[in-house]
Amino acid sequence: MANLATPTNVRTAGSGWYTKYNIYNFYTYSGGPNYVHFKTNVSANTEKIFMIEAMGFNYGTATIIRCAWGLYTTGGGGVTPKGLQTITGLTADGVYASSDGYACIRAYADSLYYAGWILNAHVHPSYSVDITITASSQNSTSGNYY
Amino acid sequence: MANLAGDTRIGVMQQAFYHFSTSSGSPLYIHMKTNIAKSSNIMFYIEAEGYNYGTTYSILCGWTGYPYSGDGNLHNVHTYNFYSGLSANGAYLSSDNYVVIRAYADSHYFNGFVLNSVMANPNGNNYRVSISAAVQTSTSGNYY
Repeated sequence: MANLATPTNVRTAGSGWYTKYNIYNFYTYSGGPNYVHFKTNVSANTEKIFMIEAMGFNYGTATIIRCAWGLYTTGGGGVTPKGLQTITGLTADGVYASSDGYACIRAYADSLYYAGWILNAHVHPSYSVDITITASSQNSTSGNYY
Repeated sequence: MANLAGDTRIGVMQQAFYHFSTSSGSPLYIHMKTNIAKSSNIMFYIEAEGYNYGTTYSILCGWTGYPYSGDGNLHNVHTYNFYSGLSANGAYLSSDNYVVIRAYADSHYFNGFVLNSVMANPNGNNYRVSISAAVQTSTSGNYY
């Protein structure tokens, strides 16, 4: 069995898109508060297109977790949602720029009791960036936290 | 380009840790017995990914659950079918006390898929899942 370092980049042959699996593992024992914010290393002052998806299990709501945030950092300090997709278990609630100018994503669930998931990143080849999560927080903030 | 063997582990994620294929359209249920023991308190997410030629649909479906030590039962089972080539039909505990996941399709004619897992929860975090037995059968309830 190959046991790869976390995270692992997989570049799709020909297209240049790459998928980076398991850039972050978040889990919590606490059912509330109900929002989780993730801060990325992607500056809102550079133009990038990427998608982050969550995969896992929300024990608190007894559901599989699948949702995704499509983002566009404008290069002028803004972060624009380009498709927030929720299938089940966790809501892709929003995106924003942190006060120090980095792209952030926000998740929500009615309960996060013993929830756990990973984040995968998919990056457009024209805007190559090595995405990492630099901070995360479970809190009650429905707007911008970072 | 890296050409990785099956069962690639990326932290708490396992990709292609098991491969199932059949050329037989029926029977219609597939039971897969895991190494997740009864009362182990291991929270699991397992998904199947592949292609069912018999139904002409892609496969992406998942099972979650929690074998709770407090009462010995399998809790919070959830199934979801993202694509329609295979249905995550249920999960149960075998007679020898392991978690079994059950799949269904209207046809399995030249069906093939892999299993991936994400063991991201606080209980069972980073547990390595494997399949000890699998069968294609007409049993819609418990087989093992």
